[in-house]
Amino acid sequence: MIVIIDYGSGNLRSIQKSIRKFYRDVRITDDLNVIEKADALILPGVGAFGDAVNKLIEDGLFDYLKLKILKMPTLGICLGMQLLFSYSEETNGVNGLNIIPGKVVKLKKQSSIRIPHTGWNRIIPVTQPYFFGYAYFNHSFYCIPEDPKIIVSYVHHGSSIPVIIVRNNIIGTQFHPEKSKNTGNAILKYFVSQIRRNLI
Amino acid sequence: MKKIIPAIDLYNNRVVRLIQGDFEHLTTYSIEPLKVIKNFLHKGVSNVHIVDLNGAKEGNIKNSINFETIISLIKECDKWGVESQLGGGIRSKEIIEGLLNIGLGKIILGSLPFEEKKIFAKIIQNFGENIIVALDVLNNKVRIKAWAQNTEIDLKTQLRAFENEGISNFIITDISRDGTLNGPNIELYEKMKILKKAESEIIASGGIRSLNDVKHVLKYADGVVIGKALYDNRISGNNLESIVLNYNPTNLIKRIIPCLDVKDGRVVKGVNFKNLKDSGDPVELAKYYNSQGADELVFLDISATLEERESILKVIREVSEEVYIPFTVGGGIKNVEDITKIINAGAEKVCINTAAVINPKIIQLGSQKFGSQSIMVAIDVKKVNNSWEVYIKSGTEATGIDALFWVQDVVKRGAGEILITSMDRDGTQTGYDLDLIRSISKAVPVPIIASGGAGNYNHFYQAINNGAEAVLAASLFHKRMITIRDLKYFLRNKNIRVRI
Repeated sequence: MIVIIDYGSGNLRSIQKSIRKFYRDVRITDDLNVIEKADALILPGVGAFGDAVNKLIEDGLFDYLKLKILKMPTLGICLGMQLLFSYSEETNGVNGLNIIPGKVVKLKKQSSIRIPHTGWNRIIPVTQPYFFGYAYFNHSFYCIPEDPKIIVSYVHHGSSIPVIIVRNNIIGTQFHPEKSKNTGNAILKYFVSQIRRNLI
Repeated sequence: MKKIIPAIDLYNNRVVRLIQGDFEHLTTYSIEPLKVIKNFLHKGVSNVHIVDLNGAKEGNIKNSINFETIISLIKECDKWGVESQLGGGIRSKEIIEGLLNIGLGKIILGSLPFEEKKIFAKIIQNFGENIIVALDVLNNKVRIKAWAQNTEIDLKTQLRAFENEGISNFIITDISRDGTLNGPNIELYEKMKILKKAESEIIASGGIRSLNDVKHVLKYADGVVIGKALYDNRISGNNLESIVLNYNPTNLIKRIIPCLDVKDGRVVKGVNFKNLKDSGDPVELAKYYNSQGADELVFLDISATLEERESILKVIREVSEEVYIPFTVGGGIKNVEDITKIINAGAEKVCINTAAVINPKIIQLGSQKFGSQSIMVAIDVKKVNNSWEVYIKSGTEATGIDALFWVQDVVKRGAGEILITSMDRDGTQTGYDLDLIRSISKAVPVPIIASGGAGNYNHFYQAINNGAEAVLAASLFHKRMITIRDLKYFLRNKNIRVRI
């Protein structure tokens, strides 16, 4: 069972429906008893970093997820990916889950680009697993892991920005796979293949 | 946008370089062409130049020993969303069609335009925008047959002749410089920039040695093919990536956005498609535009009553769960609770207009809670002398606020995107107000969506050229006067980055 963590963050049914194309049993819940039985997790996220961390703490999920995510395939989407990191410039003084050492920083202002980074941009893979094509972005902050080897794809927007990270069982995408057509489906398929591998 | 184009010349399935086209002076750089091309693609290039030297030498790519390799290179580029261009022994309309079908971006023709005028005319007719004519020049005269034959036609005359036939893409090589690392013929490209038609694109090729050469040549040329310098590492992989970023800082595409008016959960106003079961159903319409290639949608709720307005949430839920397209919802948003409901129902962004003027705090509160990327502010304006006045309440009430002041103010407060509508142009189909778009986009660093006045393909192009990141239209799309697909091909041929 894949569990999409529900901590009041947007409409999760669209990601649920997208992933059901590849894996039947997908539930949306904030119930620890259900999450406990999960084979894989999806950490979604819409909004600001600080708000999201506070909600996870209020719901009693923060410390629990810190340990749980290490044990199973986990997909962090957009803000959900950023939450996996140590901290974010968006909200000073608030720590992230710190599962992936690194920081979340603001896109640097330059005359040649517009911020927020909004729309379809071409993904540039640098290492395996390879993902190709265009993805839909809508963000002003992005992740910089301490270990650059876990970055599998970048986009160009003023500079090279990491947009997909893979470390052991954890995948993070700065874009929304459920809104990114073929590229998004490739991510979801890969995630599901990781679950299947983990179950064998 | 300038094109940085690494070159792969294939001979007997190996990556090679010739000096001045001479097969006696051939250096092999790799026996793995696919690996070589991937190295370029990893650096983020958007174009790759492939030459089949066997095809060129023997006269027909169809029988070339490299054919399978070439197919694999074209397919690889296509998978990455990168445009490939191919030259060397392409002799027929059929082979061109076949290559384009497997994902080749552009065909490079050298000898054929001179030797097979009839076939060339047919090719232009069918694939004009996919054709690049390669002109090899020595002492200002065009040469053909692997540079052996002097046509005695000077470059300027020949360029104009091809332009008049409908060709707008050219690669110009000074053959005294090619492969020599003596440096490109800068004066040649400087001259051609003045002589060419405005819409023509001239790619420089031959003699590039260094980053400095690239910089000099791109002062005048629209793109540059880099070969030998990449293979003997005078321009390293990291250099290549920094040039790409320098000349193309982003690969973000320009967005095409249809706008749908919704009242009591139904799409209203002028939407009438024969192939839709229910032309008032927002989900059906969203699916239709999604299949057409729309990059985003905007739903504008024009409901009058509170009860009617509740139904927009159902629309948002259904569209986000049934159609996988990013969309924005506006109309009647008064406070952060409204924003929260809309985002939580599944919209990517909200669009605020009147409430932003009446209670600007909503922008701060909304962007603090959801990030500025979720907060779009719509500004409706009318021109007054040399400035624009902001109107609210669906354009019925003048505010006395200057649009340029207002746009800077809302961005300071946290707006992440601006939807700017010229009320003077709206519905006229006479084109967007380009002065307005230019002024607004210069005033703020966030993306601008142009709205009001689109009537033909070129209007969209103009808006983008004047600073719009995205273009919005309603009835033009709804009445199918323009399809999004056709519009995207039009823009792509004008060198605008689109998602097809």
